[in-house]
Amino acid sequence: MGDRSSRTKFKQIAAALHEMCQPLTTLQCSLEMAALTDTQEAYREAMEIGLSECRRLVASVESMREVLQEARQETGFEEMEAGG
Amino acid sequence: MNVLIVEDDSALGHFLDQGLKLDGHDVSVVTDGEAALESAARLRPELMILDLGLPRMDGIEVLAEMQQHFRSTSVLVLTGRAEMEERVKCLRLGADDVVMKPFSFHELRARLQALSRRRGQFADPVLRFGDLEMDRTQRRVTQAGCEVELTATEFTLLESLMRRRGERVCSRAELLREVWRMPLGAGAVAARTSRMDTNIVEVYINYLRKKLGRNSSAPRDASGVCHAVIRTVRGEGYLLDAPEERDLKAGTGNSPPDLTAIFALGGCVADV
Repeated sequence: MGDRSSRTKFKQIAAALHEMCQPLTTLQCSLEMAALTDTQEAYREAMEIGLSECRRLVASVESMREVLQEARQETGFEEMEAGG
Repeated sequence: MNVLIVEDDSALGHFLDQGLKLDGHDVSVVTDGEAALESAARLRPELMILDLGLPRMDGIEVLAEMQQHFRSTSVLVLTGRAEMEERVKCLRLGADDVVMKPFSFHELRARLQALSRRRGQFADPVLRFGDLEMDRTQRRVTQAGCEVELTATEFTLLESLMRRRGERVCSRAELLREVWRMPLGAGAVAARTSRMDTNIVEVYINYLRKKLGRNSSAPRDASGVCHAVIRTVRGEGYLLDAPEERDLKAGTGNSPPDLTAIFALGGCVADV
């Protein structure tokens, strides 16, 4: 994989990571808020928001997977497929 | 504290709003950079929580504008970008703190408390409004140069009103929290349990009005400084006001009604 291609991949992974930060923050704050207020309504709201944020996280994970898959094909490094 | 949240993610903005209100802060939320500056000009918040990735105007631009026009507002930046250079840039542009996403609300809350402590530490110990002057270090209040003797509770109550400098109405709930250390919503609880607790704000406002009224029989002093008065804003709370000259002219229709008379009676004009 050339320098230019590496840089592009690096930027794509950085962008995907950045995309993950927002839903993770919302997820964490929504759960903390439910625990703080301790009402049925707060728990239901946290669950609804949580599921929606999980969908955003899954989308970010998918885009990171695609970038890693491309990198793996370009380099031929099978071991780059994390987790086996 | 009076806090302005600038966050384009509506769910996160909602939870921060909810959490900070639980802590007793007075919170407003906007979702883009231009609205952030408009609200900063209108609300004069003590603290802005600023996300960097914003529509209409980037957070970095907002930060630069805040530093130029609203230096008295502390700014805590939220960022999902990992680069150290960006955090350094924010701090150099005037941010008081930078928090990286993802973060815990508990960490954010602790950082806000630290910022609040620092604001208190570096704040001017002397508050001035109209003909009132309060030296918070010496615990001394003067009105038109005459010393006003206040109890500890009256002093704290007047401080709460003076900190808002006539720019914002102070609600009864805010005063219960700031002066009597009651948690948010305590007024409603007290209303169900004790009439005395419910009236405590009104009673002390009246004490203050009587004490301040002794030095304000004329609308302004010899040097032309307007006398500060406590106005009741029906349904909202109390406002420390120093009427402008135009308001003092009889029959303009802009004047707060019979403020001197209110003082003379030591009276509260409405329940809040």
